[in-house]
Formats: sequence, structure tokens, C-alpha cells
Amino acid sequence: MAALVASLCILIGGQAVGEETSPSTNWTVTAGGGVAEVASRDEAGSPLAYSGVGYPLILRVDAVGPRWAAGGQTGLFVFGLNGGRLSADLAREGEPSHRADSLFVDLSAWIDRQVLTGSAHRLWLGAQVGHWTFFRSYLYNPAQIGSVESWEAVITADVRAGVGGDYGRLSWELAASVPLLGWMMRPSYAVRGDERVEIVESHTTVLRRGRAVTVDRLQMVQGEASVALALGQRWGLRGEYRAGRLSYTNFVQTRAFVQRGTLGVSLRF
Amino acid sequence: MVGPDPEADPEAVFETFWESYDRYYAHFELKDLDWDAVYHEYRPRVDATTTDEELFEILAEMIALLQDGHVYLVGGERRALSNVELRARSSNFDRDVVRTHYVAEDDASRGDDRIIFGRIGENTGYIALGTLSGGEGVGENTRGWIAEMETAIERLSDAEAMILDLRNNGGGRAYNSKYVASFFATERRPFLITRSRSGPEHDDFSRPRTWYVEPMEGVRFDGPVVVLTNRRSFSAAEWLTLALRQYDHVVHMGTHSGGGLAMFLPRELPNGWMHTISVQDTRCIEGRSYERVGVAPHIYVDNGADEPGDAMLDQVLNYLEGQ
Repeated sequence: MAALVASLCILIGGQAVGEETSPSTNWTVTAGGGVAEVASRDEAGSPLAYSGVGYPLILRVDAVGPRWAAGGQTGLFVFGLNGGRLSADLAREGEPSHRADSLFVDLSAWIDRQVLTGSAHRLWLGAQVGHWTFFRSYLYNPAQIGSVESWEAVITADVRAGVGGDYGRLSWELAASVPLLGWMMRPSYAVRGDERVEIVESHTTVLRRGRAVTVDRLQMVQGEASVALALGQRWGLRGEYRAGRLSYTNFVQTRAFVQRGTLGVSLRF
Repeated sequence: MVGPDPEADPEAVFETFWESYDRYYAHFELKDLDWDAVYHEYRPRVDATTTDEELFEILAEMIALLQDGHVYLVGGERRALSNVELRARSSNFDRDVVRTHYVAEDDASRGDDRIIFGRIGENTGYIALGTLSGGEGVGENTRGWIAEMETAIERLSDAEAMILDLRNNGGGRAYNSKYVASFFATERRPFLITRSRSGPEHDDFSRPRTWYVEPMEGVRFDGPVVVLTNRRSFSAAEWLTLALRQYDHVVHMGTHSGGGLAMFLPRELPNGWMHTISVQDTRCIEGRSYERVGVAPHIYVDNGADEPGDAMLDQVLNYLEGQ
């Protein structure tokens, strides 16, 4: 599978690198914000689902050539800054606490090659390196001593596919990606055991204690739908809906779902 | 998109509760407790008609079998402790008696009452730590009230002997234990070996981790030290006791400590109740576990019931006088 990803990268990357200096390359930077709904059911943290709302900030860079496209994007919210308070249904029913403060960040960089091009439509395939961190700090009860921290942090090698089209000043895209390989970082089995101590002493422990995963343990899919409207020669608006679902099992299972709608201002260079 | 919550009926709550300990509890083998047998004994007592009160009682009975001071169950206003004997045991330490009748200095109380320090007589330094909770940071970067330890050691550095009173200290941060011990350490020494549950089998543990005491740079006390414990010296206070016992100039006096040295994990149940699970096997350098039994002092001293004053402290002072 790694060979497949590598071949795809070389195929698409080779084409792109060859065309990178082409004068027809268009660069676009988009910044904005929006609203995200997140949900988690992490057996390491609770048998209950926790969900809530965040207000992510986003940044996206696109480079588009004649038959290729590359780009990167990130979005994040951090509890205490822009939302991220999660709660279980019990909390909404009046039980005290059952809340979790959360942080979510996703980051991806991709390169695509158009494989079919019509007069106003295109279809592409690509490769992507993705990252997703979803951290939660649980407080189950006012009598609880200390919070319980759990997280999924994964770096993935993905395949991507998408379609898009142009209608005058309006363009649209639909894309989806799935990972073939990943490097998963999770708290230790005991969550509050010795590994947690090591993390206090050295944050890089989180990276070192990761493990390589394939689709038998990690099932993940991400998708996006976007519409961009050119309002001038060099600027426009971009609306995007983005969603992802992750399921990972290593003794205990964690499942997470994140969807967000954002609006950004785009500058073209 | 992440699936429905489990049912919150009595049977589902029982199953989740039993399974949580089965997955995470670290001391089944140490305590020779057959958790499957516990399931078969208690499961028939729960069905769809079991009330909250009845279910709470059943779960409380189950954790009582663990005899673990770090294990408790909270459901609404109800609270059940695993080690009732430990927590119910009458205290043989009155902080006010020490403050009023023993410690001489006016500014004897520092750190929001979590730390008391001063002199008893001319030559004996006295530091009482009521807790090891709070504070943050590691080693010399430790911050918060616990950093008052440095002031205490500085002020008492010319004392001929020191008493570190850990009676009724319910524990807190392991790093605070290491920090306090570092003021009395003369060289780097190991004091504890820990392992955490790492899988679903009762004997699945992470690789052993050895904990060390590092001497504090600068301010230290290396004269005679008595560390004083009672049955309510618990958890991180026991870590501190074991750390100090590594040094020849420290004598441990008092009664057995509380006997709960593991890190513990809070969990919740589908009906919203919370409970805690000890997830760590903790042993001294020689490999002994002190879970439930506590750390035995080098010299046993105790207060009699309803005795005026502080007989334990008197005996410690007599001991130091004789040195």
C-alpha cells in the first residue's frame, strides 16, 4: 500500500514539479472562520458520546496549474479561545458536569492531477498528507479529582479524488480522501498511567509513543464541498463545508465526527 | 455519527461498571481477587427492576472487595468508599494542637495552611505538609504553594534536626513528592518502580518505570530527619515517605501509612455516576507492594485515644533528643 501511495505521489508530483514554474500557475490564499460541530465517543474517556460546537479559524492555500493543483489547509479551535466545550446528553438533562473541553485541529497538504477535463468540468485524483488532532479533557463530576485527558492525533497518507466545475465567476468542487496508512498517537491504555507521567516530563513522548496503523485499525474518511465566487480580479469569497469521520480500535474504540461550515476571503496572486 | 449512547438501565450500568475494573484495575493478582467470580456473584442481583438505591448498594459492595483507598463511587448525593476501614479510622493528629503547643514562630503557618513550618524549641525544625495537591511544574521549575518548601528549608537550615510531619496528608501530585524529597536528598537514588495496566488481561502491564529522587541544587537539609506518618498519610505522601527512606539520615516514625500508592483513573457510567480505578502497580525498589497494608515505620509511635497533646510528636522529640 505504501508503494501505491509513493507511486501516486511520484506520478502526480513529477507532473506538478515539472509545471511549477509555469507562468499560468495561480496562487490563492483564503482565510476565514465558521462554525463546527464535533462529536466523540472514546471508550478511553467515557462510554458516553460527547458533542459540542467550536468556531474554527481556517487558512487555505491553493496553487493551480493547467492540469494539476496543489494546496494546503488548516482549521482549528481551542477551548477558551473559540468554542470547544463538549457535553454528554446527561449534562443537557441537568446532571452536573459531564463536560469536556476540547481542541481540534486538522491540517492537510495535497497534490492533484486532472485525469478528465471537459469544457467546464474536471475530475482529478491526488495524494494527500493529512493530520487530525482531537483532544478532550473530561470532567465527569464535581467530585472528580483532576481531569481525564484523551485524544486522537493521527498523521495519514491519503488518496484523494474530486470533481469540480466553473460557471462564470462561480466555481465549485467536491472532494473526498481516505487514508491508506497512518501514524496514530493516543493516550496509553490506562490513560492516567506511567505514559502520562512521561508526557508531563517530555511532550515529544506523544510522538514517540505513536504506532503505524492501516485500515484494519483506522477507518477514516474526509470530504469537502466548496463554492468560490470571484468578486474582482484578485479577490473573492469561498464557502466550504468539510466533514470527517474517524474510527480507531486498539483494545478500546474511539470514534469521532467533525463537520464545519466556513466562509473565507480569498486573495489571488 | 458516533453511535448511540449505551442504555442507562441497571443491567447496562452493572456491565459497564464490572467491565471497567476488569479492563483497568491493576491489583487483582496482588489482592488475589477473582473478578469473574465477583461478576457471577453479583450479576444475578441486578435486573431491569433494580432501583438506583439498590444498584448503588450492589456496586458499593463490589468495590468494597477491592479494599482500595483510591477507589470510590459517586452517584448523585451518594458516595461509597472502597476502603471504609481506612477512611473511617479516627485521626490521631490535630494540627491546631501542634500549632498552639509546639511550633514557636509567629509566622508558622504558610501556604494557605497546606504547609506549616517553624521551630520546636531552639534546635528542631518542624514542617507539616497537609497535602501534596496543587502546584505545577517539575523539579526546580515547581511553582505554586509547594514552592514554600524552599522558604521553609532556608529558614530552618540551621536547625540541628528536622521533623517532616506527613500525618493526615492525603497525597496529590507525584512530582510534588519528588520535589519535597529533593530538599533532603544527598545524591540521586531510585525509590519506586511503577507499571500501568496496558491491556485487557489482568497481568498486562507496561514496562517498569523507575522513579528517582534528585538532590535540590543549593538549599538542602542533610541533618537528622524524622518523617512522621499515620494511617491517613496516603498516596503521594507515601511516595514521599519511600523517597525519604532511601537516605541514612532519615528515620520514619509513626504508624503505618494509608496503603494506596497507585495512580487512579476516574470513569463514568452510562447513568452518569462516576467511579475511580487504580491503574498502576507501585512497588518499592526491593519489589514490595504496600497497597492496603501501608509502609511500616522504622520506629512505631502512636497517640492514644482521647489523649491530650500529641504523644507521637513528643516521642519523636524524645528520639531526636537521644540522638
